Amino acid sequence: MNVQARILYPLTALVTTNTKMSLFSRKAFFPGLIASFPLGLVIMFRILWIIWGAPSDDPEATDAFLIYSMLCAMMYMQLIIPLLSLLKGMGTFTEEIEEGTLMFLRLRPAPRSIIIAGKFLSYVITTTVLLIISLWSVYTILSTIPGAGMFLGDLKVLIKDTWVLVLGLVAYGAVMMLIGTYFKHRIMIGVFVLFVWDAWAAYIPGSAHKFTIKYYMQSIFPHQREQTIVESLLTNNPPASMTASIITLLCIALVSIFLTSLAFQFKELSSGQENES
Amino acid sequence: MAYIEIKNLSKWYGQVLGISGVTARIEPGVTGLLGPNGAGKSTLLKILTGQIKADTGGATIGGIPVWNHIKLYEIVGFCPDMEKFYERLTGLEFLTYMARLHGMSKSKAMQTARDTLHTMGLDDAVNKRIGAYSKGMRQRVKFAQAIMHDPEVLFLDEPMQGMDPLGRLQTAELIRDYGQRGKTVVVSSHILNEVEDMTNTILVLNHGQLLAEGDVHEIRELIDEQPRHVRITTPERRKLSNILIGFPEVQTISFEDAPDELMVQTMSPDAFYQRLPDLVMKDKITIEQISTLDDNLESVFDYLVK
Amino acid sequence: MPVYEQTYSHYEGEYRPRSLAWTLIARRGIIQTWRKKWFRIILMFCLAPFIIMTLRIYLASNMELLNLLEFNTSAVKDILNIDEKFYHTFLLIQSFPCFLMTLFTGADLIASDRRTKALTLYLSKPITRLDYLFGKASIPCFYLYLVSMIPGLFLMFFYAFFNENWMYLWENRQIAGRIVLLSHVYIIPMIALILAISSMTRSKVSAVVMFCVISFVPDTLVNILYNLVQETWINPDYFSLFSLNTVNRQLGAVLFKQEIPYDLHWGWYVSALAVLVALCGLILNKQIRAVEVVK
Repeated sequence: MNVQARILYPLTALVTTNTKMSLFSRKAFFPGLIASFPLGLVIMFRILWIIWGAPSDDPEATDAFLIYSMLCAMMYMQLIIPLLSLLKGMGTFTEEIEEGTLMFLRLRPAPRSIIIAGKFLSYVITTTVLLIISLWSVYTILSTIPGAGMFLGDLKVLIKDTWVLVLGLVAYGAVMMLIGTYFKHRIMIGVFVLFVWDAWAAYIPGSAHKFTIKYYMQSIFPHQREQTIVESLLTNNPPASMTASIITLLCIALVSIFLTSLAFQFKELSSGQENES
Repeated sequence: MAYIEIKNLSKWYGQVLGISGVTARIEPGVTGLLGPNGAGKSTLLKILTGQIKADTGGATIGGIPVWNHIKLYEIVGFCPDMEKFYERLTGLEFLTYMARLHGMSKSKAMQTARDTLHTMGLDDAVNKRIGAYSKGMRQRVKFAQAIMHDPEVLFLDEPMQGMDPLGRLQTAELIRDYGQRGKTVVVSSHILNEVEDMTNTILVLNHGQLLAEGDVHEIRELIDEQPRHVRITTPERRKLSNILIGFPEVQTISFEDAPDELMVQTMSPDAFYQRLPDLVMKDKITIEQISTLDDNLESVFDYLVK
Repeated sequence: MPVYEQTYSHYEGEYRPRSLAWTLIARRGIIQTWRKKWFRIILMFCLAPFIIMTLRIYLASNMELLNLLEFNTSAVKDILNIDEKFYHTFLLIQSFPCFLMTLFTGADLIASDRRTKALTLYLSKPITRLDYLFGKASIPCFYLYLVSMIPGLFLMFFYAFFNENWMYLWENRQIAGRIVLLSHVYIIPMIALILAISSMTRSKVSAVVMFCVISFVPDTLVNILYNLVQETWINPDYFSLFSLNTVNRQLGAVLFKQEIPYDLHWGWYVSALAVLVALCGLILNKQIRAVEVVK
C-alpha cells in the first residue's frame, strides 16, 4: 500500500465520518447544550435589555467587555472546556468500547496511530465548531450592547481567546482520551483530574500547580476570574511564559496521544469487557 | 504448510478458562468450528483475529503472527457474533467507511460498498440507517463488512444467526463458493446442520479444549467404541431379524414405528456391511433402503462432547 | 390425534400485575451496586461527615471531660451546641455526598438498559413502565436515604442515647420531621433528574457529564446574572430559582428557620422543584419505551 492508501484515506475517512456522526446526530445534543449555556444566557440578557433597558445604572457594571470577560473566565475556561473534553474527549474511545464498535476499527489494516489521530482530530473539530458557534455568537451579541463599539472592533481578542480555548480542548481532550483508554474507573478518574486536581492543585504549596493544565491555560488566557483575598494569597503562583505554556500544552497532548496509540496497539480493548463497573 | 497454524493456544479470563492447549492446522477451504455454548469458539476466533492475546502459545495466518500485526487485516475478514453497529450510519456509509480504512479511495470504497451490499442482497437498504435494519439485514451487513475487501481468510462467528431460510441458503452458498475459490473460511456455529451444509471439515471444541479435527466421516470412523445404528427398510423385517440375530457383530435389533423398518446396532459396521450382499443373494430378502444414522455431524458432535 | 389451529390470539384473561414487581428491580440494583468495591469506598467517604458529627455529639454529651481538659471555651461551646442549626449544617454538608451518590448509582441506570437493549426485555415482562421506573428510582433512593435522612435521624438518636434523655426525641420531633422533609427535597429532584438524563443517552460518560453540568453550571450562571442585573429589571433573587443547589439551600434554611440567602417566598422554590420533576417526568414518559424507532 502506498502512503496515500495507508495514511490519507483512512485518516480522512475517520475524520469525516466521526465528525459527521458527532455533529449531525443526537450525539451532538449534550455537547451542544453545554456549549450553548453562555449563549442562552447572553441571548436572554440582551432581549431583556431591549425590553427593559439597561440592567444597571452603573455603565461600568454592564460594560460589554466586562461581561464577555466574565463569561470567558467563569464559563468557558472553568466549565465548558473541561466538560466538553470530559464528554467528547473521553468519549473518543469509551463510546466505541461501550457501543461495541471498537472491533470494527481494530480489524482494519490502518496504522493504529492513524486511527487515534483521526478520532482525536474529529473530536477537536467537533468541539471547536461548537465552541466557535457559542463564543463568537456571544461576542457578536454582546457587541450590540450600547457603547460596545470599541469592543466590536477588537477582533484580535476574540481570535486569541478562540485559539487558547481550542488549545485547552486539545490538551484536556488528549488527557481525557488517555484516561478513557487506560482506566477501568475512567469517569471517576476523569472527574477527579478535571474538577479536583486541576481546580485545587494551585492551593498546594510548592510546584503542584505546574502539573495542571489549568495553570498553563491561565498563563496565556487574557481573562481571569475575580479572586477573593484568601484565594489570591493561597494561589499566588507566577504565570508561565506564553512560549512555555504553549509548548507544555502541546507536549501534554502529544504524549497523551502517543500513549493512547500504545494502548490501542498492545492492550486488549474488547467490547463489553472494558465497561466500567 | 497449513494456511492457519495454531500451536498450543491457551487463554484465561482471570479464573475462567477460555481455551486450553489448542493446537490445529486449518487448510484452505471451509472448516466448521463446532462446540456447545461456552466451548471457547469465540475466544479462539478473537485470538485468531488479533483482538485478544493468547496467554500461551501462538498462531500464524499465512505466516503472519496474529497478535499485533496490522498487515494481518489485509488478508483477514471477521464477522463477529455480536449485534453492535454504528446505528446512525446507513449501510452504504458504514461499508464505505470500513472500505476506506482498508486504504481505498472514496470512489473505489463507495463502489466496493455498493457491490458488496448487492452481493448480500441489500440493494434496497443501501441508504437506510442500520438502526432501522431487521435482524437478518444486520447480519448480512455484518457479513458484508467481513468480505468487502475479498480477504484470503474469513472468520465467521455464527454467521447465519437471525437470517431467514432464504438468507441462510444464500449465505451458505456464498461461504461454499469462498471455500471453492481456495480461500480459508472458518465458520463457528453450534447449529450442526448449518455447518454440515457447507463442509465436512470440522474442529470440535468443548470446555476450551480441542476434541477432534479433520473430516467428519474420518472422525466418525475413529470413534470405534461407540455403536453404530443402521436402519434397514424391508418388507420382510421379521425374517430378516431372525437371520440378523445370529450375526456375532449385531448387538441389538429393534423394530421402528414404520412397519417395514428395522434398527440394527452394531460395533463392527464394516463386517456387518460385508454380510449384507449374502442376505440379498442367498436368503432372497428384499432390502429397499439402508441408512447409517450416526455418520452425520450431529452424531459425531454428540459422541465427542457427551 | 387432534390438530390445533396454529394461530396467534390475544390473551383474554385478566391482567394482574404484581403490585410489588418493582421491588425485584430495586433489590437487584441495590445489591449489585453494593457489590462494587469502589462504590463502597465512596459511600464511606460520603458518611465521613456523619462520623464527625457523631463525635461532636459525643463531646457535647461529655462536657465534664472538656472542663477537665480545659477545652470548654466559648468557641468550643458554640461548636458543640446541638440544636436545629447543627442538623441543618449536617444536611447542608450532605448535599455534596447526595450529589455523588446520585451520580454513581443513577447515571447508568437507564443508559445501560438502552445500550444493551435490556429495556425491551424489562418491558416484555409483566411489569408496567411505572414499575420499571419505580424500581430503578429506588436504587439511588436507598443510597440517598443512607447518606441523608437515616444518618440525620441517627444523630438525634445518638444525642438521646449519649445523654440518656429519650424524651429528647419526642420533644424535638419537629426537627426529625424537618430532616425527613429536607432529605426528600434533596432526593426527589435529584433522582428525577438523573433518571431523565440517563434515559436520554446510551453512554454513562454522557449521563455523568450532563448531571454535573446541570448541577454546577446553573450556579455559575446565577452568579454571573447576580453580578450583572440590578433591581432596575427584576428582583435578581428570582435567578436563584434556576439553580438546584440554591433552591435546596433556600428550602433548607426555610425549613430549619435559619437565615435565608434569597428574599423570595418558599413557594417559588417548591414550584421550581415541581416544574423540574414534572419536566423530568415528561422526558421519562417519552424515553421509556419498549421499542425504539430509528428514522
